[in-house]
Amino acid sequence: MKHIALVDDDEVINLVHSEVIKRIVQDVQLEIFQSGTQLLEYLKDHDEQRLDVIFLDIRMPEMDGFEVLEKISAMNPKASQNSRLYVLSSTLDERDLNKAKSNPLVTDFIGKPLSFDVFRQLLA
Amino acid sequence: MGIEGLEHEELLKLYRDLQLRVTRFSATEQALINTRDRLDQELELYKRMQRYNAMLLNVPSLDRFFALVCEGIVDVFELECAISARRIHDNEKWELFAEGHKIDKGICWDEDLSILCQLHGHGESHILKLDDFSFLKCLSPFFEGLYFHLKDVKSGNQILFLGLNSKANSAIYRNVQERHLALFNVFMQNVQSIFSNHQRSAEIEEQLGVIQKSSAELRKLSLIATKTKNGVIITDAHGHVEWVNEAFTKISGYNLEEIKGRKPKDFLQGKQTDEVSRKKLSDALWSKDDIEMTVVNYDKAGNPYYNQLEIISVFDEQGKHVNFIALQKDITHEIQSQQEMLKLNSRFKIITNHSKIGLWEWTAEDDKVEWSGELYQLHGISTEIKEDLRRIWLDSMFVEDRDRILGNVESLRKGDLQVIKDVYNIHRYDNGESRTIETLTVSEKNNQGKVVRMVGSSKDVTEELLLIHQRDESLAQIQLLKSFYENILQNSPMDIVVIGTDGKIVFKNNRRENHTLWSRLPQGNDLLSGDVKEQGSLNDLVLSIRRSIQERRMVQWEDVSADGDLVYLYNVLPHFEENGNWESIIITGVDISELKKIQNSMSLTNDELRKINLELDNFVYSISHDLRSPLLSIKGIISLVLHDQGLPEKAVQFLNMADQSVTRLDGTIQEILEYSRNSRLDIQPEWMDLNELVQNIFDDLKFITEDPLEMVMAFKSTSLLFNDKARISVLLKNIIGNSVKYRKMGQQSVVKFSFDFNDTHAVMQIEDNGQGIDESHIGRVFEMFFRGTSASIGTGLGLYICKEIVSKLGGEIQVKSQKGLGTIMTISLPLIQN
Repeated sequence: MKHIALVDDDEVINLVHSEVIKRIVQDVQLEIFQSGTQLLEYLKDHDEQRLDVIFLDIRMPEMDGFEVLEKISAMNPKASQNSRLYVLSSTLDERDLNKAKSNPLVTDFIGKPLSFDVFRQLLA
Repeated sequence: MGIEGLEHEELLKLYRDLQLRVTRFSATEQALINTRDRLDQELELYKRMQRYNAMLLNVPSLDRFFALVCEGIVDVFELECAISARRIHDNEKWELFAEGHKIDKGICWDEDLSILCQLHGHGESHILKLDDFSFLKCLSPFFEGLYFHLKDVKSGNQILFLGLNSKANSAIYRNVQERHLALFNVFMQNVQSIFSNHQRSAEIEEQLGVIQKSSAELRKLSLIATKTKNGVIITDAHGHVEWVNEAFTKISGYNLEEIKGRKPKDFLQGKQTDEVSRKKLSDALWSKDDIEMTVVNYDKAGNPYYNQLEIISVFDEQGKHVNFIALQKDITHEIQSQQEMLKLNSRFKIITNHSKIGLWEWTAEDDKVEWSGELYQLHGISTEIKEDLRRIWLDSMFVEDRDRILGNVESLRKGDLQVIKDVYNIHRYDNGESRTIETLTVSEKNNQGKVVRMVGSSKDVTEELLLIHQRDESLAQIQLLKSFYENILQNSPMDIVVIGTDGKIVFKNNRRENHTLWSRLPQGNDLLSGDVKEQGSLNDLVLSIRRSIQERRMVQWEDVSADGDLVYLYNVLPHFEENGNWESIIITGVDISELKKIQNSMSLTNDELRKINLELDNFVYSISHDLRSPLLSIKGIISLVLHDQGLPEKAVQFLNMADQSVTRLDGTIQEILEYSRNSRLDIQPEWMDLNELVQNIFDDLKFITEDPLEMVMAFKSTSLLFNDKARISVLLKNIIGNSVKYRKMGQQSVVKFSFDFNDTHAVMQIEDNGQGIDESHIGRVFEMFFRGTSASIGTGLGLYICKEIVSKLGGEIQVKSQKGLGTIMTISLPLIQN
């Protein structure tokens, strides 16, 4: 069973993404967080490695994706060491893109929306 | 028994006594033998020494003498080596002679030898021990020796002799002993007396040479006395003739036999010899002073002649007066020719002709005027004309000058004046040209004070005056220019100071009389060289002036006051002559405080602008993000719906249309963002690899279709480019994107990217085999919102943005296309210096 987390303040896009994921992977447990804080709390409470994949948005109110990444790396490294973390964003800012790609926690940067093709490739 | 016993006792005692004596005797005998051996040896040494003395007596030169002493020391005293050295009074250098291979003459012995002499004095021999050598440089390898030094106190000349044994060979050579010293002393005394003999004979030879030289000179002198054309008389101390030369006989007619023992005045002086001369002559003879005078003498036949006489008193070495020598010369002829000289001679005429001076002469005797050739030429008349020269002269003269000139000549003729200088104008006869003549006239009077002759010189000074006039005019003009420029400099907003090669201020505009730096500037050598005594700004100014001369260029620097409110900009500019030497330094100072303030506030404003720009950039990104988010959600939802199978065909069609519209709207948002960024942001050049960049763009694009696509890349030399990567990326994304979007559907599409450099530009070319552009549209493709057909997928902004980017980068973009065949886009960008 796959354990996947979606972190985005936009409920609609969370729904779209969860649908895409569910249609490709039947055996999946989805955690949907509407803010970085929720993800961090979850990670704190479940320090056993639980998440296979994290999709993280950049532009979010309260705490943006980069702050979330900083907090994660400051946390117990066990919390995320086996997770694959994808930044999933609609940003067009090259600076965001470069910053995301150069972060050691980030596996890759993906443009929204997560499409069936791209998700299949990720699993492959 | 008793006697026998006694005898026996006695005998034994006697025997013992005898035995003792024999022992003592043999010891004495041994001592005697030793002494004899030693004396034999000493005798041997002494003999050797005598042999050397004999040889030294006969050496031909001092050099050989010194060398032989060396040999002698080594031979006689059986030492390893020897040195003899001499030093001519103050001369620091010792001249060295050496015997034995331990002595290296190449190195400098001066110091060692001088130290030795100071330590051991002169006139006595010494034995040198190991300690004596320990602190010497060249002599340190030696451990014992013999020393003798002699110094002539009067002349300062020194000689030094050393016999030496080295440490290395101490085992081989017999040690120096006290008895050697005595012998050495004897040898040295001999050497000393032989040396002074040699020296004395050298002195005698030198004196002989001097005597020979002076006798040769004497011979020459007497030859001169005999052969000279001047008469020579030699008398004894009382003035009686001892000798005369041939010339005297020739001048006076008297020969030596006739006048020997007589006094010259008794037969040479006569009626015309004046009393003053006679007195002067006898006074000089009395006081024995040398004298030079001219006197009238008479020859044997009674004819008077002018005698230029010189009498010299001769004293011997003890200062006793021994002779008079009288030299005399008959100058009657010279005196006559001196009188002749007063007349104009032909040589003088030649000179005047060459100097373009015309001469004339008037004599009272025949009231005749004569002109020199040059004067004829000056007036433009033929030299044939001899008569009426006075009338011709007057006719040529400007009327207004005539009376004045005639009046002047008249006062000369009367004797009222002696010299007149004048200037007048004439018309030349031949061409009527006006000339200006400068004239100098001199009158000559006879004994009665009557004017007998007038001589004049005339010179054409027309050109000269013209030149002077012109020079005056240009000087006036220069003066005018000077005051003009000085006026400019005085009123210039700058403070200006000019410094001359002597380091002094040669010009200063007085805008600010009390300019602090000018008034405190050191002058002369303090300014140009030496230690800088100044502090702070003044120090900077002095150093700038020196640097400008040294580096031959303008030096510029800003002088900021302590509170930063006042800023002065100084320019120090050296001015060089054609020969490369500096001629002056021009220093300008200008108050740029206000300019600095404006500059500072401008750079502040710039910073603010940059901040605003950055905020705007963030704002634009946020807006585009917020605009896109719902669009992308819609796109996602559409893809979800389409993913479900079994939708009515119509629904699928509509959903695809909705998806396309959303895609287009998203494209528009992206393009507006790119456009906004291009117009706002500065160019930020960096190195990029076009190979990689183009490959990435193509990789992103190839998923939009399943038609076969091929990308071909050609790099002439390199794929690296230094330019604004973000802009180039947008540019190529758009153009390559167009090639893919407007491909021939369903066919094999090829996009070819090539890249090359020339000296000034980087050139990129994108060529495709796509649909091509309609000829009627080709001129408008770069316009804003222009779309070729309503079926176009684009927004009409893509190529417009491309053009904007290219023009921002200072380059050009060109399009070549044929409908149905393909399109070639050529982008040429100026190279940016890294």
